[in-house]
Amino acid sequence: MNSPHSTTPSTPATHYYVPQPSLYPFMLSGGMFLLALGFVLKMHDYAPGPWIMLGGVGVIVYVMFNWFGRVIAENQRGAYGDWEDKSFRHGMIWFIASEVAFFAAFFGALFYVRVLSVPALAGMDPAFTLWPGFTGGWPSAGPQGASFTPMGAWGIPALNTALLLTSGATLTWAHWGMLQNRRSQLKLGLLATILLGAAFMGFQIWEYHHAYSELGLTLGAGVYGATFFLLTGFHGFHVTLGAIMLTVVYGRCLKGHFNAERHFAFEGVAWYWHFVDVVWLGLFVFVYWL
Amino acid sequence: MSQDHPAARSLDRSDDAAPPHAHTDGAQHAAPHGLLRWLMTTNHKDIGSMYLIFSLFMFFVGGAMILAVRAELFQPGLQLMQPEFFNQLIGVHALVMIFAALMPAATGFANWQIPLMIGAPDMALPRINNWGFWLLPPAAVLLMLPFALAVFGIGDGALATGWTFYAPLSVQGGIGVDFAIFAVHILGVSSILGSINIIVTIFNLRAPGMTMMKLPLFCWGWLVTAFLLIATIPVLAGAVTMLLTDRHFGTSFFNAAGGGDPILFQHLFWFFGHPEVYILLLPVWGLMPHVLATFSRKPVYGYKAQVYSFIAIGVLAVVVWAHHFFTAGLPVPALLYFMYSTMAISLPLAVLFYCWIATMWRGAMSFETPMLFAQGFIVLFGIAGLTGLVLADVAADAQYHHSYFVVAHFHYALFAGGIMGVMTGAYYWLPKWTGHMFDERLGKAHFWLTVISFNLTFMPQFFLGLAGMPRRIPDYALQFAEFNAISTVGAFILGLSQLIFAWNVVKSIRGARNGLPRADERVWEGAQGLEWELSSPPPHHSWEVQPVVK
Amino acid sequence: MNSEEEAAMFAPEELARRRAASRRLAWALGAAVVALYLLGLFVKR
Repeated sequence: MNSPHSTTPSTPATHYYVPQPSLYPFMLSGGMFLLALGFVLKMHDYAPGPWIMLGGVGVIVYVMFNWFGRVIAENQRGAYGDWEDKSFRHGMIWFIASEVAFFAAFFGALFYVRVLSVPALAGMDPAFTLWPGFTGGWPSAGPQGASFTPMGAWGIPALNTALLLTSGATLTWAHWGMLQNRRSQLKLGLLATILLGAAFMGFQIWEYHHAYSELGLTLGAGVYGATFFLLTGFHGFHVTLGAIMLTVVYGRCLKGHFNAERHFAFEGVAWYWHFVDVVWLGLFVFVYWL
Repeated sequence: MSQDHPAARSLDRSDDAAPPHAHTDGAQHAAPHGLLRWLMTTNHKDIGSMYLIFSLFMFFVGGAMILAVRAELFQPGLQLMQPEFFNQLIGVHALVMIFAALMPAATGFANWQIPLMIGAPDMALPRINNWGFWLLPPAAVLLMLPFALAVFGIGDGALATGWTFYAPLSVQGGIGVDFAIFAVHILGVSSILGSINIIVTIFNLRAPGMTMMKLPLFCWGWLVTAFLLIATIPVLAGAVTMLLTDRHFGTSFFNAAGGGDPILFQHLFWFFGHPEVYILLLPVWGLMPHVLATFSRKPVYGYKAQVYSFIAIGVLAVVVWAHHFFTAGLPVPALLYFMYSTMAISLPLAVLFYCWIATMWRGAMSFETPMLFAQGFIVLFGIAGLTGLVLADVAADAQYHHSYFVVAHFHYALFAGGIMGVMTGAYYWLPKWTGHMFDERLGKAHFWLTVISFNLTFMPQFFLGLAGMPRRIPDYALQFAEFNAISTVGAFILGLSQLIFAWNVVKSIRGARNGLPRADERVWEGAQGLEWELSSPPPHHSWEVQPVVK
Repeated sequence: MNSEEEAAMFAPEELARRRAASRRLAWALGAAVVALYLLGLFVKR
């Protein structure tokens, strides 16, 4: 058959790195299984639940240390070239895209309750509703939610906005240091970013404490409480993850890893950090401010 | 393990067949043996085989569940089980078939075929690839574990809400709902990892000269699938997370007393759920033109039209979700919008049907098993599409909604469209994977038994639905008895005929010991494409040296 | 270049015969569909 393809070898430099067989993916799956199993049992008050969860977390942490460690080692001995680097970049971009979709679900829920369900509950014919006195408006805990004081935008949240935006700037400043081989600028910028992130998280915890102890704003405070805590909670979780990743990258910088041409780990984490930053802006506008 | 594991042998052979390259990353020589080989593998063909074997196994598990359901429905009245257990079986059947049978089958195809088709040495992210597979068995265990726990007095069995988890029923459900929520989370992680890997592989590992508009259609179908997964699976994860917090942490997402709305769950769920239909079908639509062209001994008709249709369907998929709950009480403008947008999907789909038929037009056709399944697919999936148009009509849907008409419709889409499409691909590529042909007579027997018993099972369900029989009930009124009896007989023949397929796969893997001839590299006379230029089975690192595509 | 068994090459006459057969079948199916459509016009509901 006359084939349109030929098998003339391309240049030998185009060899793609296929890693050694590895047990870590299997172990990580096992750890996630234990975490899920333990969590379900815990929620239904079976005694072994928390211990199974703890075991799962242990396995997950162990695997992450070793798996990332191995990837870093492969990187340090030069296993990855431009071709592999491009795969990592594409992979990180589409991973962040999936995270965008995850937050979109919660923003979607927020817009749905604000625009549709709360006004609809308030607008029902008084003769046919369980709650003729419900007037709607936002913030709202719905007809029968616990009463609460909403979180104001211009206290801690505004400060947190400033902190996160500044951390984005310091991270970019660190990146310039990387590109121009000014290592002390790189390290200083990274350290500042991590500290700003930690300060953000500290204020966020303080805010939660304030909400629960003084404002009556809890997970049970109707749809306002539900959307408030799930949106800010998942965001805080992502900030924490980002800060841990930044810390690892900082440690690697201290050990002299990366150079101006090859620093995917730094850039991947930076993209992630900026993504978390953008999500915060959405939160600040739609959860706290408007 | 490699002694008693059927697939191991064919893949061991692939090591022998590999050219004696000086350089590898040691993966070939340091490769662990036995069970560890499968736990640790980073090879796209090993991982593809695991996906396919897992898929086939879960296909029979999910099938056994629904045969129990059909047995209960053989006669009116309750004979075999209580309604609670019946509800658990139908919900878990659907989740198993969708997430553990159909999706892994398509991912197995992708793992095996994409590197072969685009001239790549492997998938772009091999360890992530392995992780993606090994998340599936734990998730399947989580899903079905509550059946076993109930036996020991823990909880009240598996998810009993149907696979759609609708609130508020799912908010009130037992421990099975929680297990299903985490199973969905883990399955979602697996899907996203697989999708990222496939996107990166297609974008970054194509052979020199293979532009996007020379990319094989199967890869195009999977590329759109992968983007749909990345856009929608996280939304499902978010929805079940809200369900979890509503169940255990006092939130009110789906509770009107707190300002939420049960319909919100339906929006979130079907924002994922409708694209999921195309996630299951796009890989099949992608492989169909390859098979039709091969056995018509003609080039694919309308390559560009099919690519654009895939993309159009991918875009439309995420904007039509509310047609799954027309009767939930949506405002009229929303009903009209979702009706028209849903019907718009029939346009790119009609383009695909046209291209499939035009590919065969004036071809020198022959009807080996894969071609037979492709023909069955086109006709029966056509019925799925036409009944789907009926359901998309808001006025008509009020009668059909939640009836057996819907059940029949989506089984024409997902069994005749999905499973028979997977069978098409499996028979088409099996000789490439095992290095031996399969038993053609068994294959033909499998096809005819499947087509006849499939229609025997599901055609009566259209009439049952039109006559008013609701879905998801263990008992029914007397006038539905005859059609239900026919449907049950058909279902048992259908289920048992699938064993022929499993047997045929084993025979092909055993190859010469079952007297089956070796397959050469091209396998089928009319086959075109890079994947047919490698030996059958292909060498360990598929395209160690990338071919140059002119 | 092809192998022994299943995928034996068709001779040119056989290929031509199959092409003609598939074209005839397509016309027949098309005619059947049109006939069904026309028949439908006369069916009273």
